Amino acid sequence: MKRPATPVPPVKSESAKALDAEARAWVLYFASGENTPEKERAFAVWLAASPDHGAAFERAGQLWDAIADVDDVENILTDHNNIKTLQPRRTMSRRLLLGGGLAAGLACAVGIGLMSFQPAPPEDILLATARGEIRTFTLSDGSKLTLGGASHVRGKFTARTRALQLVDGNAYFDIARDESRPLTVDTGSVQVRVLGTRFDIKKRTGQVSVSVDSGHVRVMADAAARDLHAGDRIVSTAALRLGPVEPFDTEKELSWRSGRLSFVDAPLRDIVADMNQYSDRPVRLAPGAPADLRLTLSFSIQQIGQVLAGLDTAYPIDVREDDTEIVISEGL
Amino acid sequence: MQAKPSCPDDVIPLGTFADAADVPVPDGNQADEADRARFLSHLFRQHYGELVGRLRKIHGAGPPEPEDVAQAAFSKLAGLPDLARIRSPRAFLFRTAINLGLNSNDKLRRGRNFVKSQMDGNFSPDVEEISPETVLMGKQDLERVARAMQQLSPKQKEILLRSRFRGQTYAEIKRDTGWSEADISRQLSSVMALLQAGLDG
Repeated sequence: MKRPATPVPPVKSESAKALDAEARAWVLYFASGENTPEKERAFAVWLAASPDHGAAFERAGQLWDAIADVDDVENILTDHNNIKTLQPRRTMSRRLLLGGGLAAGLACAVGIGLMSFQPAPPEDILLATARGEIRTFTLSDGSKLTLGGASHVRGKFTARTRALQLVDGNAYFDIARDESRPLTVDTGSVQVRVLGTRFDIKKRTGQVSVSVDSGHVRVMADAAARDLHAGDRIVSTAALRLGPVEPFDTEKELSWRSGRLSFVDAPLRDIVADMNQYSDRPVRLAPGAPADLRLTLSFSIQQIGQVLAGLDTAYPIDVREDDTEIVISEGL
Repeated sequence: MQAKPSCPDDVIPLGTFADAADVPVPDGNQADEADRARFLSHLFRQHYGELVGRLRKIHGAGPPEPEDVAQAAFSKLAGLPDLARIRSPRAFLFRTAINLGLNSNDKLRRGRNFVKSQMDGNFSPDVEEISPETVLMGKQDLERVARAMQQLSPKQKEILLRSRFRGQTYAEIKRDTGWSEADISRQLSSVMALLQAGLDG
C-alpha cells in the first residue's frame, strides 16, 4: 500500500541557529536605544555580507513584531504571579523518584511478604526551589507547602508519623489535619509539632522564626517549649533559645508568597539575606557595612535592584553592582 | 522591520470582501464615502473600548494616555485606502497602537529608520507604518509563541513588556527597575531565543 510521505519537520543546522541568534541580537540592538554610528556601520557590513543575513534579520524582526499579535499578550506579560501550584498528587523531584525506585527495589529484595503488612509505604519527600522561585507543592496527605526562593524541605511520611525538615530558606505550611499522624518540622535548632494548621517558618543564619497563621502550634528548642496560636510569632536564636511570644502582622509577614517582601524595623543583614533568596545576582555586605542598620521596607522581589539604589541615596551606604554581584559597603 | 507576506493569514487577496465582518465592507476603489464611513464607525464601536482596555494594561495610566494612542490608531486605519483587506481589524489596531507608542521614542525611531534604510535601500521617515500587507504570523505559530511566553520568568516578562510594548530603551528600563543594562540585554536575548525555540517546536 502506498503511503503518503511523512512530512519531516525542518531541523535547523547549527550554523542556521547561530545565524538566527546573530539576527536576533541585531533586532534587539535596535530596540535597545543604544544606537551608535559605529554599531550602525557594523550592521550595514553584516547585512551586506550575505543575502542570508538579510533573510535571517527579517525572520527575527517578524518574531519581534509578532509578539504584539499574540492573543491576550497584555495579560500574559502582566501576570507576574508565577507561583505554580501543582495538582494534588504525590510530588517528588526527579532525583527523588530515582532514589525512591532504588529504595523500592531494595525493599523488594528484602522480602515482598513484609510489604503486605505495611498499610502505606513510607514516602520520602524532597522539595526545593531555585533562587527567585516561589512554588507551592501538594503532598500526598493533602498538605500544601509553599517554598520561598532558594529553599529546601525534606522529610518522610510513614503510617504513623509525618516528619519534615526545613533545611534552607523559608516555607509556609498548610498542613492537613490528621489526628493519628502528628506532623513535625525540624529546623536543626527548633522543632515544631502540629496536628493540622497553617504556619510559616523562616530560617536564617543563627535564627529561626515561627509565625502561626491559623490553629495551634507547639514550638520546642532544647528542653523549652511554647504553645503558639494564630497571630503569634516566636524567634529563636542561639543566645535566646526561645524568645518571647509576640504578635505579628499576618498580611505583611506572609506577603512573600505573592512575591512581596516586608520588613519592619529589621536589620540590613536580614534584609540582605532575604534578598539573596530572590536576587539574580548575589547581594553581599562588605566588611564594615552597617549590617545592623534597621529599616522598614516593603517591596516586590522584582524590584530588589531598585530598592538598593534607593537605599544608596537615602542612607549612609554605598551600593555597587556589576554583572556578577551587588556589594553594599559603608558610605559617606 | 516588516516582512513581506509569506503566509498571509491576516490579509485577504485584493478584490475580495471580508465576509467575517457583519456589515458589508466597501471595496476601497469603488465604495461610496457613506459606506466607508459606516464601516469605520462600525469598527470603532466594536473595537475602541477593548483596545483602550488592552492599552491600559500595557501602559498603565500613561503616558501615553491609552485613549490618545487608540484614537491615533483609528486615524491610521481610517487613512488606509484598502480597508477591506484587513482581515483582523482588532490585531491591526493593537499592533498599530503599540508601534505608535514606540515611535514616540526618538532613539527607537532613529534606529528603526536606519534599519529600514538599510533593508530597502531607501529612507522613509515614517517607519512605524503598518500596511495591510504587513505579515502576521499564522494562528498556530502565534499560539506556539504564546505558550513559550507564558513560561517566561516574571522578570523576563517585565523586560519584554517594557521593551517591546512600552518602547523603553535599556537605559530607561534600568532607571525604573534597577537592573543593569547588561542584565536586561542578556534577559531579552534569552527571551527571544526561548520564543524562537517555542516557535520552532
